[in-house]
Amino acid sequence: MNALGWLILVVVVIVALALVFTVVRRRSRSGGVIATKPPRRGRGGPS
Amino acid sequence: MARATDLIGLPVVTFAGEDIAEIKDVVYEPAQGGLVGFTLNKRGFFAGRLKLVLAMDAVHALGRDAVMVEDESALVDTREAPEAMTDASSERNVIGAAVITDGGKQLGTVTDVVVSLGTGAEAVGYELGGSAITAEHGRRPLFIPLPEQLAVSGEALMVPAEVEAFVRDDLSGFGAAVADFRARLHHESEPR
Repeated sequence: MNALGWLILVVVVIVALALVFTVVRRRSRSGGVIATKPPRRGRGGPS
Repeated sequence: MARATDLIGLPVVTFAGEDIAEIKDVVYEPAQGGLVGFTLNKRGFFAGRLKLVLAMDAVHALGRDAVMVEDESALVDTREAPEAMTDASSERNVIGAAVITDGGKQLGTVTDVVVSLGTGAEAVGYELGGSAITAEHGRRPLFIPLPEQLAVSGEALMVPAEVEAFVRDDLSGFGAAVADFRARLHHESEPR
């Protein structure tokens, strides 16, 4: 492979890594609407 | 009224004008409807999650464009936050959850949670999509009001069957539907 081939390969790898990084970062930053857990029923209470 | 997902990404701003964080998750308590607080991201597109949370008690005002706090001390470590906040996990994200009436009818899946803004912010309704009911309305999203006290059973989002009479397809008139629905529930629960 000549120099141009290596250059294209390096550019493609860098772009692919940047895309993966962006997708992972965006997913970790994405939020939601979270419901808290319902309170646990107490044990040993009056029956 | 606003959609809870519209709050995601809002900046947290101090009285001094500092932009200290960004809203990641909106945490609410389904049984009482109240907003408990927010998990946070650092500011900036590539910045990651912040290990601090913002409890609702520390919020001065919840607006359409920013969440106002007095100063940076409003953000607390998850260990010092209310228990409900420390339990917040994306596994309990209600977006996509099915809503079923206590009569056993599935109304649809949650596409958003409607919250009232200002002081005493609370979850007052669900925006629904993907069901026979939304298909009847030309597949537009529908809004259903929530009672002040909501029975929570395991993972299901249960609502009273009476809610079907108060379904709206527009958020602008939804506040009145919430008030009417809650008044009706109060009326029905009064001893005769």
